[in-house]
Amino acid sequence: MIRLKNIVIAFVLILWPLDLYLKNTPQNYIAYIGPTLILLISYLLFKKNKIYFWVPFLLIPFVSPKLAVLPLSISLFSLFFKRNRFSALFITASLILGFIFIKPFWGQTIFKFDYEARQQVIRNTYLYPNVFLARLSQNKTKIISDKLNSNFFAITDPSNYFFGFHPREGYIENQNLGKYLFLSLPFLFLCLYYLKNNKNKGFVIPALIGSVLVLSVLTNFDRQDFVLFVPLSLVIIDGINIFEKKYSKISKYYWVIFVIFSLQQIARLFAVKL
Amino acid sequence: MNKKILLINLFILSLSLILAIITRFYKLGTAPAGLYLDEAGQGYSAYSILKTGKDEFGKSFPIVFRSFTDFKTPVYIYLVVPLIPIFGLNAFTVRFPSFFFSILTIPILYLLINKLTKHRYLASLSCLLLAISPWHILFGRTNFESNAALFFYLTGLYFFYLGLEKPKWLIASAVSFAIAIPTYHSQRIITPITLVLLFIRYRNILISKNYLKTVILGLLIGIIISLPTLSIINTPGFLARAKGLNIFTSRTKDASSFINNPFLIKTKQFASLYITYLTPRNMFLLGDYGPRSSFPDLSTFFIWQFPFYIYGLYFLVKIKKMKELKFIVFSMFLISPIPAAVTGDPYSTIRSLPLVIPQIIIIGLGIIELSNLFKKHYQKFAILFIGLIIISLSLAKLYSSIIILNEYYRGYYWDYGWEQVVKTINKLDKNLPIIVDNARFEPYIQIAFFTKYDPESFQRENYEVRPSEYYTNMDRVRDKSIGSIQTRQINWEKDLLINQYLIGDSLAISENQIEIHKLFLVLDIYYPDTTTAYRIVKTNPEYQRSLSP
Repeated sequence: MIRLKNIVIAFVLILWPLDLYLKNTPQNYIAYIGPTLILLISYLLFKKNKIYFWVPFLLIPFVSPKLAVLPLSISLFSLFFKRNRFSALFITASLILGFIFIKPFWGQTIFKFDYEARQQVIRNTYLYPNVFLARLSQNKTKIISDKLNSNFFAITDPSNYFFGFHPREGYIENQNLGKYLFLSLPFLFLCLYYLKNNKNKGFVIPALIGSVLVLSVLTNFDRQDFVLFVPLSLVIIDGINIFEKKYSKISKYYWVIFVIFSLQQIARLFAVKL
Repeated sequence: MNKKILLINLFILSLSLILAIITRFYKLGTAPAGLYLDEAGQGYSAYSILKTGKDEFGKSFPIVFRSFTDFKTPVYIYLVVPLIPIFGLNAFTVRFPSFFFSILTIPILYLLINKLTKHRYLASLSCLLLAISPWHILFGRTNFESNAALFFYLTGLYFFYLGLEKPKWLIASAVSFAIAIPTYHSQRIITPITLVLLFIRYRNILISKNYLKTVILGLLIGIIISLPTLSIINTPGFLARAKGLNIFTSRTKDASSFINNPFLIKTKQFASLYITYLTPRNMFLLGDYGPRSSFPDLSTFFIWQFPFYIYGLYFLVKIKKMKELKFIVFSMFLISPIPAAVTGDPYSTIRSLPLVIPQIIIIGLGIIELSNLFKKHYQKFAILFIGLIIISLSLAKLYSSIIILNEYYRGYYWDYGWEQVVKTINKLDKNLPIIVDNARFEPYIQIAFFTKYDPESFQRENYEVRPSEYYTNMDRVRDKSIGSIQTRQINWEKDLLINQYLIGDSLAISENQIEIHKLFLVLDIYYPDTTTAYRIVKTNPEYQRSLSP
């Protein structure tokens, strides 16, 4: 008999890819899931304790040049967890690939010259009573730091993953995908709280932090953030397991509620599409 | 107690109070420039009470103020009444209670944390963080009732904890909580839930022999203070705000189908709204979406506080000691967003103001625990030095946002310009009528406020409802008379034929209309960003008559 918990896990895994598929053309969809599939392969190798589990990461720049520095970012964070004779090779290879793909990557980042933002800063400087205060409050670094903060906080915002950015949706630059059911939120926190004991932390933490940093420097991370699907889903699934162990009595009721809400959310996805 | 620790704490607490006074008192009344209609409404209601004992609609000492049929809470308005003879009827006066109670909140917070933890550093650091908190400063500089409500709520909490040692303080606690409830709408939810939680946690003490009598007495006093509020609890006026904004009372399309099931949708909507109050993106980056409840280029907390918030939160969850602080912080942390989250607005900082307290404490805890990782003297000195630089930069940021950018960009939202309009009106020909366009504004209240129009005459000339229907009849009369001034929509066909003044914004009276109708431009009043706010013109009936065949 299928356990209710497994149905819950299935719903956790299905929503984001489904919504992404329904809101994009098949060609675009394939482009977006490419890096995610690579992460999945890498995770499967990691699970089998293969020390070369990082090799698939090197394919990411070829699939999605926007994410050209993702392997480098992940490789640097991997150093904190598992250092072996391949680590230096991984970093070197990522670095070389980063250099090769630097041009297409740079054009998609927040470091690109922004004429409008520069003009706004110049206009604002005239409002201040002295040059010191004007330079302190309005300067060129502010343009980049504002964009970086905006991306970073959006990527790390639970509303992004559980509520499609509601109630502060971005209508122009964002598809506001319903990525996970909001009832998955406790699982995320539960797993993060017990992250120290997580068996997958050697993969999940570098993949999460590395991806968040790279996505933060992109002009528009929407849909590119699908690379987070694998590490985030692993975290949530782990949270489900912890929840079942710690709160076995209420978990059954919670699964039922979860399934009802999930069914409605999926039905609404199709209703919008139709 | 170590004398050195005491001195350091005294220094931090004094610094907090000085910074709090500077950041809130500097240009109080002139920044934000302009006077928003709710501020003017509260001010004029207070003026009317002072002069006649009735509000502008002729109701004696209302329990909630009808105003724009939004039924404003009464405590703040009654607090303004005694200030008018001292400071006059102006923006400073109507904003003063906010300032006053935001300053008083700081020592109360110190006493409360100290009572709960005996951790003087945490108490004084939390006060310092509150003193420079953009969220708390905003509502300490402007006429919003939420700061006064927060003060009474915190005082109630502090007295409650004193009461656990000496029962007589429970009566003072009951009085404070009872005042907090009618001071601001959100306290109608926050205070009762807090009281229930406090009772559950300390029930063994509260129902013990020594306490029971005092508890019952406190409860009775609380009920007596709340009686006026309770007497109108079922009226449309009292429920106006709760019903108008509540997401659970709004209707869903095709509610019978599974995909539009209102319960499932509203639950999700509530959860999404609730979460916004606790997430870093709203706290450190976006802030409040409202132009009057935020400052440009500044969120509710400074971005440098983000890592301390995360660490403080983690620490507070993990820590086994400081149980009382943990209880109060998490209770306030989880309760405070509820009244705000049942409204559809994303991250409404005015409705969730009590949340600033637990979040500030969490940040303070994060700072202390992280700095405790550095043990050596020179490291401590470096931390202090960095801390001073950060505070200086934060103050510069506050100045930039509150005084420079807010003044320049937000004049429109603060109804800038009506004071200048009234000054000009006073110089106009007294024999000619004046029409003020009210298509997009409610200018009557600002005009009554700035002209200090006799409230008795206002009540006589602007009948809206009978006093017996004050809380029940929701009908409004939008057009008002203030002596020779009428506020109504301009009727271009008729009004041009009468020799009179017309006042409106640049949409109501465009440059094109001035030219076509050969109107005489008396004055253009500009927002600080140099766009036209209001326009005062005199009609040209001779020209109009010359056009007719």
